Amino acid sequence: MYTEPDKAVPPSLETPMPDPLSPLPDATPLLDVKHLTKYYRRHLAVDDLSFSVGAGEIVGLLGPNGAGKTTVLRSICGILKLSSGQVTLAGRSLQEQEIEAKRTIAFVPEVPNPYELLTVREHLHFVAMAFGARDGVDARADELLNRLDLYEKRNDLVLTLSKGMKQKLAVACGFIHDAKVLLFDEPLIGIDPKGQRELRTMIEDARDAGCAILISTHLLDTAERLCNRILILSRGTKLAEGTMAELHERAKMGEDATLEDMFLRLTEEE
Amino acid sequence: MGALLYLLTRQWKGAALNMLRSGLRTLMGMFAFAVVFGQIFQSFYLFAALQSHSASRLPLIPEPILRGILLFILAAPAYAILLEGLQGNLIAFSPADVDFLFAMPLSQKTVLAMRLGLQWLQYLWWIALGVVWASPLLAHALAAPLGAVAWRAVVGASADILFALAASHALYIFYAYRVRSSEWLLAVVKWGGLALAILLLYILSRDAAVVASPWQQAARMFNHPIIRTLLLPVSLCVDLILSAQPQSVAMTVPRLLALGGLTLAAVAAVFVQRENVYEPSLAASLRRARWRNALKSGGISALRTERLRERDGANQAAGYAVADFGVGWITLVWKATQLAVRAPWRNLGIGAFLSLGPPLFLYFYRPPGLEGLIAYLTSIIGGYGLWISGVLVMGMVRNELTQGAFLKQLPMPAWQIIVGLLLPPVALFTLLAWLSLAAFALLFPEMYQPLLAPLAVVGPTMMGAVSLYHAFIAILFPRKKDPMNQLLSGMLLFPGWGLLLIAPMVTWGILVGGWARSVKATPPELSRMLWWSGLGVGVGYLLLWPLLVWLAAAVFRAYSPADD
Repeated sequence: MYTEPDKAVPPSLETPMPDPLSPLPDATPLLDVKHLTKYYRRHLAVDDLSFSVGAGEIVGLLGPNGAGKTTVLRSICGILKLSSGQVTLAGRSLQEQEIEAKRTIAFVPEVPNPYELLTVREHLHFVAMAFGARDGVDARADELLNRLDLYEKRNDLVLTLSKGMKQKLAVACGFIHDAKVLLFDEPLIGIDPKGQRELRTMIEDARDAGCAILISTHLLDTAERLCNRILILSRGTKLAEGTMAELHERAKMGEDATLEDMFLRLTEEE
Repeated sequence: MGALLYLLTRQWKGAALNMLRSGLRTLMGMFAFAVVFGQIFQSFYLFAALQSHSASRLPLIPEPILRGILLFILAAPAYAILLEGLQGNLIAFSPADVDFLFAMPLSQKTVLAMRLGLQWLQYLWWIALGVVWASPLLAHALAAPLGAVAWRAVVGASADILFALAASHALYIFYAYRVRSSEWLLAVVKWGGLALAILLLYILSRDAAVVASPWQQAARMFNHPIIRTLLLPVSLCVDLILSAQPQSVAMTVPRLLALGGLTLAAVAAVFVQRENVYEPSLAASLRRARWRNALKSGGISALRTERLRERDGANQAAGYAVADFGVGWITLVWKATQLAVRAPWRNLGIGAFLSLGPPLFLYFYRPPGLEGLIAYLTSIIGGYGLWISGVLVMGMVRNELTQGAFLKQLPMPAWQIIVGLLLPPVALFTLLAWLSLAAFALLFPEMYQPLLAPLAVVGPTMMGAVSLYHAFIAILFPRKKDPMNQLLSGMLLFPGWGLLLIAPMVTWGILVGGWARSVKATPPELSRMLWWSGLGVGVGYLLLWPLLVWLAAAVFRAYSPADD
């Protein structure tokens, strides 16, 4: 359920962040996708997809390569124009109130492509400024950089960072402002084990603070541990959605079946 | 908007910091600035000298010819911008923009306005330099005050470039959403455009043939009402510059207003569109990224696979192979040959078309009365080809540097790597140039033969020198995304072209021409003189090669793949 804005600050981040949102009715999901359809010219990439993610919920977006996961994430954050359908972010329609809706999200891409000619700290400043979260950005940036072992690199140009460090920077950018909806595209790939653990903690903290989180991943054990619900896509359509228990039922497999077993069964059926 | 300004200013600061990380790069950057500012002062001294010695006044160029020259000079960048824009390259944002900027709560129009403004500012820098260089001479030729010419040139060229940029963006967005989705409309636009271009060439050549002098023919073509209408903003810009003449009948203010109105209309055409501008730019960005990655991972054969994938979904590289030959640096030549064989056939087709197209077109069409003009144009096209080949080599070297870590670990001296990298493209361009020269020699024996033999010697040697200079700049400034790299490499190219391309050719022309006039040389004597002097120029270029290879190798030794 969605919490009051002042409670939506991740507890690990002590510096208060400005909140551009007014409270929503408790029952309103923070991320609501209705009949999302996306064509690339004549190729149907996503077909009539509907789902929602509530406050304090983590949903795993799974699917084979080319299933349309990245298209879904890019459509939700306004990079791609929907062929039809509606996306609502924290009560704001992406189609009608694009700027206000975008103010509520953070998107961490799969391949980190940060601005290489900024320093690490400048990059975080830039993202915070763009989201209107300038107050207290220094303290938040330092805290995030400490957590992700990037503090020593704070004044280095991004082009001097390794690939894993760039991925950590992209993650830090996702947490620098007061996002209510967090979208992650394969966030753990390329990050060292310590960083992976820290990132999982940060995601769980954000969930506990009432954020809605959608994670696209191929790491099924991580999805199993982290997510409240799983959504499986195949060829742009929803194959299955539900909690682990519901997926067990849907896949007609025993309780000892792992998510990997169920995923393979369901996608093979397709 | 504040965030975007922050991003821009900090990126420039970062680019400067990155340049300062390398002593050599810093030194060359300072040299580039020194050369450019030296040339600026030189042009002002030239103006002062011309003004103070009225006897040395250059002969006034007739207005139609001057108009034609200005139209040609100003239309070239506008055309290049339009071409780039219609290929989606202007609207293609960087991967960082896609990942961060697109998902931010910023209006698309703001982001697009920033893009347009930034591109315009980049061109303004070159416009300002061009005006500073050219306006003293232009003012002298027009017998007009320097200030009057300079401000008109700056305002006119700035408006013209902004028009071209805005029109390119507007057309591409319209094309991406309205035309590309329809195959028949796409075919109509492509083939209809080609048919119209051929028809236009026919009309212009028929019209130009009524006068005798090649200069007048060119001027007549550029001043044709169809061309003036098609190039209306450029034409208005030229009118504006020419209105600086004291006796000019052209009105400054109405032309200024018309140009401003057209530019505003083009800018409005970009911003009234309600489409998602991120999507076509994302498609263009992704396509560029895929091609870049393909090149990075597997060179040109991977590019061919990518091309096949894009065209018909087939995922198969052509099965052509060249038997391996050589050891050491020769293997680099083998690799390049292998990849060239697997290159998209379209590239080979374009090369053959550019080499054989002009002579064949002229042979079959033979526009009556335009022989002199064609002779001039062929020389211009030849010079342009040399310049383009240098630019292509620079791109190739920068792409090779994406595999810099591999190249650096090769057990061979740096100069061998440079030679191995450059030999195949220079050889390929030489072959194409020879093909073109041979076609001219066969089809027009009476018109071109005296020049062909010397050009066949000078062309490749000059191309080698120019390519080596471009390779040197590419290794020194390898980062295509870095604005400081782009700026400095652009500025360093000018003195290089001046020293390697223009100065020797002009000197050669003046010396041979002067000699021929002074002794009233007969055609066979002139032919012999051209041949021997051409051989001398070729040998001169050949002697420059080791020096340029040494320079490029020295920079390559200092190059760190992490810089790219």
